[in-house]
Amino acid sequence: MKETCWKLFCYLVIDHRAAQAWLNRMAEDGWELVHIYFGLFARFRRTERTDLSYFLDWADPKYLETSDYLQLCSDAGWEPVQTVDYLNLYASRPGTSPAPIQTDSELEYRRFRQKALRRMALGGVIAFVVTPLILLPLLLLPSSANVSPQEIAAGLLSSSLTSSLILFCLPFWLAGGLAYLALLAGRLLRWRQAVKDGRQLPVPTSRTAGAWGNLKLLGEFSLSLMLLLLLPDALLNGAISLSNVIGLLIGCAISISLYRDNSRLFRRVLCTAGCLALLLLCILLHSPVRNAFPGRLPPSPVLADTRVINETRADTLLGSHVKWEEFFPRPDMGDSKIGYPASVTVEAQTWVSPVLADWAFGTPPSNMVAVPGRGDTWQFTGNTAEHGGYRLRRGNTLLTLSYYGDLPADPLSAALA
Amino acid sequence: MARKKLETLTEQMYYILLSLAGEPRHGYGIMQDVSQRTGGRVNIGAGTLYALLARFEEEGLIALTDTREGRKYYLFTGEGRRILRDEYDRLRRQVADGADALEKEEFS
Repeated sequence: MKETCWKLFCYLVIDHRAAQAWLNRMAEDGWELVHIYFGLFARFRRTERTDLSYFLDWADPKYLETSDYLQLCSDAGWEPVQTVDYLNLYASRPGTSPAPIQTDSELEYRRFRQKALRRMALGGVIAFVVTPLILLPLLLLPSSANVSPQEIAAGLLSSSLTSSLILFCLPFWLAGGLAYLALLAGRLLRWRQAVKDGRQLPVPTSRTAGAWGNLKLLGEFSLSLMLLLLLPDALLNGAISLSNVIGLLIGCAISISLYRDNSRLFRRVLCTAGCLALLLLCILLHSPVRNAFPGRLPPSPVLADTRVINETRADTLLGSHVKWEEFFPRPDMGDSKIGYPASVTVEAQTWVSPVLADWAFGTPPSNMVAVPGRGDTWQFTGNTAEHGGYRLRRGNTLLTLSYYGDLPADPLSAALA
Repeated sequence: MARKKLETLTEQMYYILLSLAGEPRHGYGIMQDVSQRTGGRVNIGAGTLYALLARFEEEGLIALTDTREGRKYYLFTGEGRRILRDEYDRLRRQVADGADALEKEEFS
């Protein structure tokens, strides 16, 4: 017979009664909880005990339970096992059959509102305030910069793995968040009614709790994947800001000193600092890694005798994006761009499939006119005669050239060559 | 927290104060005393007791008298005595009213 087994521990905090019931069923089948890893993977071992039971209680992650409270629970027959998310897990001591830790429904309901609900509601409000604030520039930018939402989305999908995943998952996250708030409201109404009727708080069925737990797992998986993609984005695509990461590391250092007495939060902050340090290393390694892996669209100067600056390259699973500027350096100005006679900004985007390319490129803007004799080539002029550009599509690749100043050669011919 | 909320006690609150009427007790001592006093009918959970003791102390109904080996000992105060006495009188009137009504029904 197996001595240990692993199970997924995936319950919403509000379904802690269902989680408790499940642990007690496992105990009845002769399994004792050893530890829950990463709040998800529960390890059990065989036990001969027939009197094992569990109780799950709300916890405030910011504070450890006081020693006198733990002493009282221990006197009553409950030993702390672990804290997972907003829940403290207790197991009954051998030889005892203790009363549940919480025996007053009204008090329990009020404790939930104080310890967990406010934070959950705050999290939900932040999500629904922050998300629109992130989306707002995407909505306002098109009208102010003559850029369509399509172009913005295409830019994100071809230049950042993390942004690609966020764009894909955002509708699901929003739908999941709304469904969760509705569930929370429904559960709270049922709890309030139970308190008014003097009944115990209702326990959701294992099926319902399991279904919501699976949705939670899906959400956490997508969030974990998003965080993981930050590493290749930093290493390959230079998409992460060094100053932001350094700022977050400083925040972690301050938090470490603040939470020194709270082992739970201390470990969490330490882990975050470790991940940020790894991210910082990836950012620092970006240049050498990028030079070793040019990607789908290696940039090269369009014009002769120019200096390339502000070069960015990015590759994702769906596409690639490069951008650089070329200018003619004046001997007396060194590398300074000030006062140079002319420059060209080159931007190229390529996709893995023609369907994506058709969607990303769309139809050329109205201010562009087709260049006669050259298929899939358009020209636009700026406010002055010295300002203009070209847009070329070849297969799944789109190239945009914007020039300024008196160029020695036509950039279109140079680009086609 | 408004005192008004403690003018009427729940059963668990009542027995906690009753348990602290005679002598200082710690939390588990209160739990055992209540269970014994009620023949196991009323069992107060550790978490519920802890929250109620904190509330009583905040409201001035009980006072911390000692701390030994990580256990806090409480005794009720004059205010706690008054609240307990008021609740006892209220329950006595309730029982008397019930007795009147039920006796009349028996003979009707």
